[in-house]
Amino acid sequence: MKLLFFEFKKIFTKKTIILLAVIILAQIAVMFIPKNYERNFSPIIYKRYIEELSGEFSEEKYNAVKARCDAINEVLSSDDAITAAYHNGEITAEEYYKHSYERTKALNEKSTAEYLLEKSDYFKKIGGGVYFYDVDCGDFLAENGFNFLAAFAVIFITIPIFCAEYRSNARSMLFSSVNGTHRLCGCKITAAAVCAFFISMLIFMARYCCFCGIYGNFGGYLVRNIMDYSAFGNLSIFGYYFLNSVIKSAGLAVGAVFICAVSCITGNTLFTAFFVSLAIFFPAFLTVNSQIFSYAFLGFTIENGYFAGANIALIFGIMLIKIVIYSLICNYAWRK
Amino acid sequence: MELKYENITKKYRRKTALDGFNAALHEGIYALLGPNGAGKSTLMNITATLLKPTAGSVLFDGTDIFKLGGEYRNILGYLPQDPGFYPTFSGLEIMKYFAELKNVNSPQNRIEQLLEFVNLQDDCNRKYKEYSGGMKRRLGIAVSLLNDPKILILDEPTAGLDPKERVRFRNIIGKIGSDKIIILATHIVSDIENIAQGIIFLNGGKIALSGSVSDVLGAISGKVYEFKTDKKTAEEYVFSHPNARLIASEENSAVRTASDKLPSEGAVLCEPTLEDVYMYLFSESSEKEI
Repeated sequence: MKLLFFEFKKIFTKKTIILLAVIILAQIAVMFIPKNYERNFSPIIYKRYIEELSGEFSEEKYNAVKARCDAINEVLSSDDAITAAYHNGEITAEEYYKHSYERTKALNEKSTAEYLLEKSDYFKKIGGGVYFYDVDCGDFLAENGFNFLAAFAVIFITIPIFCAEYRSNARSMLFSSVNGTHRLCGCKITAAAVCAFFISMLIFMARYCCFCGIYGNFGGYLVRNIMDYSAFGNLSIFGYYFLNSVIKSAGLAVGAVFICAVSCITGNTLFTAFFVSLAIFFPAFLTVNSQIFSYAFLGFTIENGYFAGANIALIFGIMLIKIVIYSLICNYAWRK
Repeated sequence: MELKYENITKKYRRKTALDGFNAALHEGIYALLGPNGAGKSTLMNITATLLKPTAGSVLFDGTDIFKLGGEYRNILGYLPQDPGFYPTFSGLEIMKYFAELKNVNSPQNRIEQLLEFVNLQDDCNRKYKEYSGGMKRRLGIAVSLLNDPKILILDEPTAGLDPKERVRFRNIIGKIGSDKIIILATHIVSDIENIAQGIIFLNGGKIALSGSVSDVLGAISGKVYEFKTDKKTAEEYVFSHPNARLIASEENSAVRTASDKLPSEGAVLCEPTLEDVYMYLFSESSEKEI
């Protein structure tokens, strides 16, 4: 345990702490970058409807939404007949302008009302739900993909764990000590994995806190209230995000052990930085359209933030196997 | 206690760093002397189990040190020229860290004892990066002694130290040498002149000369001369004879040289020193007949 404590002490220098603070600030800054999502409904109109419907789903609310959809469709379908009636002088200009106003309004609201009806149908299908303004939450969770800042932090913090010993020539001093080979290597790997896990969690949670600060705390709502997240039973939004963060942080912990193995093989900071950046970032860029690369280090939640249908035990099982393999390589190369 | 080298050879691709090295060391201080590339560091690294020899074996009390593994490292202390201690750690933290690495029983007492021994007890809470060169070396010695090693390997321990710190360091080594095998590699002959029981001169991976101080001094007995001449002639002589050196630089300079022939008319024979032996063995143009 003492050895582990000293390894942590070596990792958390002033430089590391400053870098972490900068990364967390960058993570917060990223949240304020305006994003232009393509939607087939208006979030502003949706928000107005949701304010009216706010709360538990009920048959009355469903009927109200359906009635509004029907009314919109009726206004739009009657347009040709009313226009003809106006041209034939059957209705006054005032009546026609009133209809035009209703038609414009219906056109604006049609897609949003249909989306709301779709959502109400979804609630009916899953046997309940809560209406709340979930657009921000949906966007937030959908963005929860590969976190480059967390990966960068892990790379920056993990590389010196072994490379600094090679650079400073401390390795010879360590090797001549009875616990300086396998036990020390084990401690370094553990320190790397634990640090990578908790640092990633810190960055992910900073993102969550920032989201709550900007949009309000929606964490308590069930994630299945958001469409497309029906598979998560009684998991809250916070629970979902937390679990997702745990899987990704564990993936980054695996990445940290991989970095340790590369460090011991190259024994050089620059080579290690180049190689691991290539190995970690490159697949992440490719995962946009390729599932295969997303398996490389971080499990298959990285490319879009979802883990619906994933076998969590299998994910952790694969991670464990990777950790064992990388650790063995690391141990062998360190002693070599 | 015996550390025996049996025909140790170490090759790095085309270069042979050690070529059939044989020696048997017992309790005492042994100095490894030789120019750069002589094979000193390779021999030390092999003794510290950091390198495996290409051929031959190193036996500690009859057992191969690589087979002993952890058991051997338990009785080993090694201080490389640059130990690469952690700059943000204090001296005390470095001691505690290595006490853990070396499996030291009741480390607190041992650490206090050693810090006092190397006179760092008042500075042990200062960061390593704030230490002077001498303090860093003394801390290194304390670290290498943490597990009370039977074999202590010191690589260029006085490099970069001022004369006062070198004397201090020599005194520390002199104190602990009685019950350990201490192997000390250095370029600085005066560091080991009065403390080493055995001296090994290495050149090109082979033993050029070895034995006790009196043995090696005896090897060039009758070959060390001094003569007086004017400054210009002395400088010219030293320039053309790499094993010669000026010992005064006044109007009438004196030249000291180790040579098989009388260097100059009026030259007088002198008592050899280890520096003379070093100059005699490792000057390129010297004619060696040992």
